[in-house]
Amino acid sequence: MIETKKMVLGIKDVVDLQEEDDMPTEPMTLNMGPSHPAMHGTVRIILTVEGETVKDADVQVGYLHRAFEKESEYATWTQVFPYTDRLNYVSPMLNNVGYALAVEKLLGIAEKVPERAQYIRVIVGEMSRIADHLTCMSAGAMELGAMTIYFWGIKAREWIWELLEELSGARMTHSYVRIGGLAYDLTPNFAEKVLALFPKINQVLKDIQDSLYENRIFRDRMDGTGMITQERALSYGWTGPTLRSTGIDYDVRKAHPYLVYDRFDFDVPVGSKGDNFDRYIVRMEEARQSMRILEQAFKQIPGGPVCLDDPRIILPPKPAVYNTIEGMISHFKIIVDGIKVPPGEVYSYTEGGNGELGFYIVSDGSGRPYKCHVRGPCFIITSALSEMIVNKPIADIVPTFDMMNMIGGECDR
Amino acid sequence: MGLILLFLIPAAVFTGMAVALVGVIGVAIPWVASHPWGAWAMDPWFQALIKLGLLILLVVMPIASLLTWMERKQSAMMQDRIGPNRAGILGWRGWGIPHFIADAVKMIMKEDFVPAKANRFLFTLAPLMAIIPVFVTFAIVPFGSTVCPDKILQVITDTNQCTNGIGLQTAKMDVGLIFYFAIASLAVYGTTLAGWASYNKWSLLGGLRASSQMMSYEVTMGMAVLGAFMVFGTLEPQAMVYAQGPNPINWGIVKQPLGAILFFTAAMAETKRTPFDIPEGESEVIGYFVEYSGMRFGIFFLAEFIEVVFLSAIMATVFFGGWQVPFLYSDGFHLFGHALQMPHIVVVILQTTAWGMKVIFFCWFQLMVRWTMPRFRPDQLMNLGWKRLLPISIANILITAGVVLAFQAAGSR
Amino acid sequence: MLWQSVQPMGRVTAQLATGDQGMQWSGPQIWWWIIAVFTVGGAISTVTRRNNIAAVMSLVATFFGLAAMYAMLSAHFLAALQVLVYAGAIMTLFVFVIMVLNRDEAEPWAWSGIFTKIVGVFALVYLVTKVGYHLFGVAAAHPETPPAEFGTVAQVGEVLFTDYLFVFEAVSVLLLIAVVAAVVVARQRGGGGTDDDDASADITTTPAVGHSTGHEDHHS
Repeated sequence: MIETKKMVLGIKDVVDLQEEDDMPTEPMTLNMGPSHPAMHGTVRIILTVEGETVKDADVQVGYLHRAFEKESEYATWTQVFPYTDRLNYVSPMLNNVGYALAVEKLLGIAEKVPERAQYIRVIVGEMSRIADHLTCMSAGAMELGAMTIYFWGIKAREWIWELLEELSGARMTHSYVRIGGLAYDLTPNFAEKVLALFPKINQVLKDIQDSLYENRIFRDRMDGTGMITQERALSYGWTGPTLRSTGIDYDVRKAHPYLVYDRFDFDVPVGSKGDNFDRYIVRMEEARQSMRILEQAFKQIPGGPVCLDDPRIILPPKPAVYNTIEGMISHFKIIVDGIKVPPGEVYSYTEGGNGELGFYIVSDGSGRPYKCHVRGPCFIITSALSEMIVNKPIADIVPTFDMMNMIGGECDR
Repeated sequence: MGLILLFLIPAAVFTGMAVALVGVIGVAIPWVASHPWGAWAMDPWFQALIKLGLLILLVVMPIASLLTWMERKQSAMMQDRIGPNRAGILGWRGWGIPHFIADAVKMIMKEDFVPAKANRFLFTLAPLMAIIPVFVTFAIVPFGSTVCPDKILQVITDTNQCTNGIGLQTAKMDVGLIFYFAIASLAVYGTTLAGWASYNKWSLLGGLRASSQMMSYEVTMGMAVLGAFMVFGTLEPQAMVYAQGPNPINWGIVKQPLGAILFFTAAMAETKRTPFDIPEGESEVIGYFVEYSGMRFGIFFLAEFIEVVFLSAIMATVFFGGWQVPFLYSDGFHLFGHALQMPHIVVVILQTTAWGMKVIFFCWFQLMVRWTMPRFRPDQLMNLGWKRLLPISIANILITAGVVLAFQAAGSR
Repeated sequence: MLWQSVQPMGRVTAQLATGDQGMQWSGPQIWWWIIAVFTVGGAISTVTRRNNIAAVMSLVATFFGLAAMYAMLSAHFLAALQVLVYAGAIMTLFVFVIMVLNRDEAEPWAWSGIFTKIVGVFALVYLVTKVGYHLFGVAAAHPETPPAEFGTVAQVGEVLFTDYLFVFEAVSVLLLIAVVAAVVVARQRGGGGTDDDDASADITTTPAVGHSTGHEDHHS
């Protein structure tokens, strides 16, 4: 029968004949990334698409894996700082602070760190947070095609980074914080310079807000895309601005205050729907709240040393190293052997740029970490990406992925 | 300062071009034709060829090249950047203008890469299919009124009086703008074939997006100018310009404001630039020309810029009085009863320059939009095209028809 | 540029020595042959290309040839519409559909479907003889310049909306029916799921779609 049909009608098989009136849009497998412009060069998504609708998404991270945890085991406690810089490379100060707090918790000196150092840690951390959110917001706009917004945001971010560079000597990889204190005190007139920036940054934020919030195209792209419910977000373990966009006001700074965060008056902005636009406005508002914190911090900051007075932890001043034998030996011991951290394990968590940045460290009493695990918020947030982009158009991957603010360095470690 | 330069340089270039254009057409050709050996110069085919060639060489290509510079410089201004300032000719940096030469050299020198499994023939054909239609369509654009070669220095009141006048339009076709739509609709092939022939799934998606977008917006584009057809009673661009006259109150933008906006929007979608750059969408599907490199890519790029110029020219012609200078009649300015008489050649050059200014203005406006807006999502773009623009344009046709009929009825009584 | 008036070309007459007749060929005639060969070549290429896209592009070339023919017959408006509607719109849709489906078709010269092919060949032979018979029956036309307004938009419009008004409107209604039918058919099959007005409402609660294999098992 089939043969006859073939001979007569010229149709290869009968299945063809039956399905002829159906549009056979075969699923197509698409390889999005890692060298795809929207994937930051660090993620690969294997998409199965029907037309432009994503039917299945296999998100693969790890293209920026640098073995942070393994490398840390071969570095002294202090030498880990440069590695933490490269976790969330947009807000390295927050990683520095997070790691320092973890080690200090294990050392039992968290309360003894001088107040001035704690205030400075808050200051640099919040500046980094503004930079982080600015980057996320502007890059998100750029990948939707609004290139101009990107440069406005990046301009403001550079103002902050310039000040942090002035402070630490490096534009991005600051390595400014030390166990038990800081590398240096604030530079002269730092407070004035930062405060002078605020009107400008506020103007930039207002510009971004004015050009995007009422922009029909932008709202269409962001409203209702990349939705996630509170339950799903919590079950994935989301934290940070992305979780707050769903309406849960969990902020480590408020929920479990560390450093001197309990002395500041600030709000935790939350969203209502958990869509991309909520994530956008939460970040925008958080940047403003960070400025509020900074203003208060600069008012309250006391004088005094920025380092703990403990020669077992803090390097001696350079004149002492060159001129006294005790100084030199102390310096040598800390540099070569590392700070002796008592055996034990500790989990310390702070509010990073993207959410709860946790450090789980184990010490065996030597000068190097036995284990140093990072709970990078990006990694956990990215795990929900696949669910959020399935059954949506390809174009929606871009805002959803951007508003997760997946930072390769932190996610892949 | 920079902003002024942005206008002055194209304006100066254009004035020079206008003088050259009118000079060759109005003076050189008649001079050749006046000799016994040069009778062929009056052949309409030869003249058409010369006009189109001159138009493309002296106006379109310089403007398109300058546009690359304008785009960079303007976007740099909007984004608080410096913009191009590196390339130079013998040390002359010229506010970054030589960059377009550097670009061309770069594009030509680059490797001409064809993917292994690409369809070579169609891969080569695609850029040509993209650029040839946009060149050909310039044939219908009127860039000035009629030059009377033998009365160049006299004051004449009506160009129709003069014998052997040379119309400053390549092809005076009765079908007029229909020709434009016909040829412009072929530009779809360039993008679609490029997407298909590249043997790349992303470019295929880009090609699909391009073809669906361009087909959809062609409908609105045609519908939008139908109102103008009715008002001016002609399809022929030169006749439209004459119908509009030197008084801005009679220009298309006054009589057809809705049509102008609709046409501009739809035609911008045809140029495939932000916010309508979904076929390219560099952060989504990267574009139909992913696999193109070197000058093949450059041709797509150039075609895009020429489309911008062409759209500006059509906007100026249909809705902004074409080459008409406000209140400049063929014998000079007439305003509030005062008259300033001018020789014919001055009037013609002024008119051609005015046309160029209008074109540059609309190019500038398009760049402005391009650097302000984010990108649509494909389905939202379709919604805008089919559910909003198309019904409005049909309503515009009905209303215009009613008004035109009412005026005709009133006129006949 | 072909549908520029062909009259100027008429002046360029070429003397082609065809055998001993010394027949004089005029410019339009040369053009006609070029275009005719182009058109027929495109048509043949359309049915012989194995590659779908190549076949479609050949068809586009054929339409261009036809448009040029119309232009030579002073029907400029028709020529422009030919390019606009067929080459610009319909064939683009063809390309679009082929790109979406992207399936291999049966080979043109395979033995399968021999019956239809035989019928087709007979039909072709019949068509060619019939058309050829009538074509050769026509006496050579007298090259007359049509009136100046022939083929202009105004004239076509006038004829269309007076003499052929009923036909015109009937065709419009037919097209309308086709459009409505297409929408109905598409609605039935797709269920209007891609209608993005509802998209924002749809996506509020979609837990673990696409992971049906592993995630939701604990429900059972």
